[in-house]
Amino acid sequence: MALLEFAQHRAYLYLGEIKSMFKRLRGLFSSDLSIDLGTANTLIYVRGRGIVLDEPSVVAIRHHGNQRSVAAVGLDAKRMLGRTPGNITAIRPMKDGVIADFHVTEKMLQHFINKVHENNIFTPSPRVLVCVPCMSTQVERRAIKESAMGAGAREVFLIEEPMAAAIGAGLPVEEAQGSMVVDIGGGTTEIAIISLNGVVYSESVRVGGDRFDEAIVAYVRRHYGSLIGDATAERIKQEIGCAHKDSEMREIDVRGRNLAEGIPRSFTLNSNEILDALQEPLSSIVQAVKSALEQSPPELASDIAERGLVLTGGGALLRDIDKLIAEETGLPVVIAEEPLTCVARGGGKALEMIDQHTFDLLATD
Amino acid sequence: MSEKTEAPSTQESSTPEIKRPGEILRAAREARGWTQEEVCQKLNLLPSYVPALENHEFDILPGKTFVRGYLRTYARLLDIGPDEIMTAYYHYFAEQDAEPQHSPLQSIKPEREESTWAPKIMTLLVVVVVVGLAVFWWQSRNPSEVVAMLNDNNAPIAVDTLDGRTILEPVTSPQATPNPEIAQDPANPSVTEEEATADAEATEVSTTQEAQATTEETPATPETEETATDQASAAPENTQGPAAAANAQNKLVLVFKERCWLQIKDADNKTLLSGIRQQGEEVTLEGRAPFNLNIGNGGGVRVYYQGEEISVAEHVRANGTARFNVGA
Repeated sequence: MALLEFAQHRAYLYLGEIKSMFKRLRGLFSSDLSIDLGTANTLIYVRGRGIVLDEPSVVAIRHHGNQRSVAAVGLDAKRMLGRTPGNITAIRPMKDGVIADFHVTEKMLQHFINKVHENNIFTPSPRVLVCVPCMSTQVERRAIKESAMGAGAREVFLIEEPMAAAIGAGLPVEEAQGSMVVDIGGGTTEIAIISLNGVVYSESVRVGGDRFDEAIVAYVRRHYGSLIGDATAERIKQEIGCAHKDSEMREIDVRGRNLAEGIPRSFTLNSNEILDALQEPLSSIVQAVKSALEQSPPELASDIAERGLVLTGGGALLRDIDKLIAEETGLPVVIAEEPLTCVARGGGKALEMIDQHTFDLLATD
Repeated sequence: MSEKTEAPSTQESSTPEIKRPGEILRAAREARGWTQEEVCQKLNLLPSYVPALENHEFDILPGKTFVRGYLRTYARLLDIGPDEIMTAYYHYFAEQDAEPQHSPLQSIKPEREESTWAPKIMTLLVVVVVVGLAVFWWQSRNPSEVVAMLNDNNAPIAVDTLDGRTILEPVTSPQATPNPEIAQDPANPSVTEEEATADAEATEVSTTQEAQATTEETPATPETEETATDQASAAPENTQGPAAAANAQNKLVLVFKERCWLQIKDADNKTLLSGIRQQGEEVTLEGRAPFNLNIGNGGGVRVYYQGEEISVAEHVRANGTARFNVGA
């Protein structure tokens, strides 16, 4: 009887083997992906092909009674944000760098993975490397892993975002030298000091592009008595936003709904006002950078003082943010090339290194 | 280093519109009247870095990422577009800047190793599992069959002859132990009983198939379990009956029309006849009534009890066997 049970057990194991073999077979028809699952944008880097997808992390859900279906994903869905009728809701499933809505994230990932493998006959089953914020909890990491699995990934690796950003920026992470990277994303700002393929010190503050937008909305409401949407706030930030008082002065015309009159009104904003609005989130980023420097071991601190720190992420595109941090810290500050894609590109490089059996880069879940 | 980098510039003097990045920066700096030290202070760089940038001594600087970063920051300090500097930089130093890319060969190699290694393990595993299952099946099947046969003295043994027929030979043991005793024997676990049933069913299936195929062939009479219960209920009733002694000397005559296996027990559970009889044979048995007849080929025998013919046909089952009591 025991033998029978043993045989059954073996049979189940064998069944599992067949299943994984089948997945591996499908894997032959799909490429390895590195996904930067960000709060604002999701980027996918395919080995040998580069960045193939860069879309906002937005999903529009259509409701039919109790049933829910995906109406649009990515750019199309983002256009719907704040402009939807009752039966459609546009959701941003990621919040503060982690999953806020598990099922929607899974659907979104599935859509993106399929989009990357558009010309395939088979359902893709790629190996996927996903970036996670370094301060994320085990539960949050597991959620990201599971949702990638649910989206059809064969194998999921996790890497800490600043590590991927540092690799993507071309920092010498494998050397015994301290490198400091500040990744200002949509939801979080990740600060890490890296040496020998490992994170020596990391800090994550839940301040990023979204907080900048919110701050602008609040400022306009307070000073102009008008309500503007997140999309407008983002446009203001991108066009005239700046982080330093010596920046070039720019102006922009915006329209918002006047709260007192209830009628849309047009008004003009300038860079100084936006700088004023962004003061609070910017100072918390600067504070976090300073505290990371305080915590760093002296040898690494001297390396950083010599070479400087690197800014990546969409936040690095805010005008003169490097000047602000350089002034506040007294260190050379460098903005990485193509800061928006650093994390995804770095993840792609890490994916290549996995094949070369350099596993120490990966985060544990 | 600087000599090396100077070399391409003389060659590419045909494109005068692109100045070397260091020269652009130096010209812009001097136009503002800043010294190199002032720029170092403004950019928080080490004092040696700005001269290195202007003289293209990039070896002193920490790395390509930083070289490009410093150039852009420096350019923006002087209100020069970073793109202008970068095009100049890439124009002259593209080769130097080329990052040690992971060549496709390197990235494929380990994968190939993996892909040859994994199927081997898989195949080995498959073979091991299949062989293991086969061995296990063989082991788990055989002992139970043997045990069932050993336990059941009356169960016939199937012998495959060379011409493809199956002959069922009963096991003859010196002490023919009846089935119910074994089934109820506390020494024997209930498992053997189950196995015996399973086995009996298996033989039954095989015999029915053969009986349908050739009527000439000797069908089997297994179903030990049923026999056991039949006997268990029949035997005690009859042995205690007062009429049993009176009919003790009754004769049972069997005339074989066809080749037939049969087994006959009397009221004392003594086996009077067990085995195969050929066509045309006639057997006369004496014993205590009632007799328990277990006939393999029900249509092939005529049974006479006390001179009267007993109808066998009404006891014949679908598989050709007949099992009944005579003289009850």
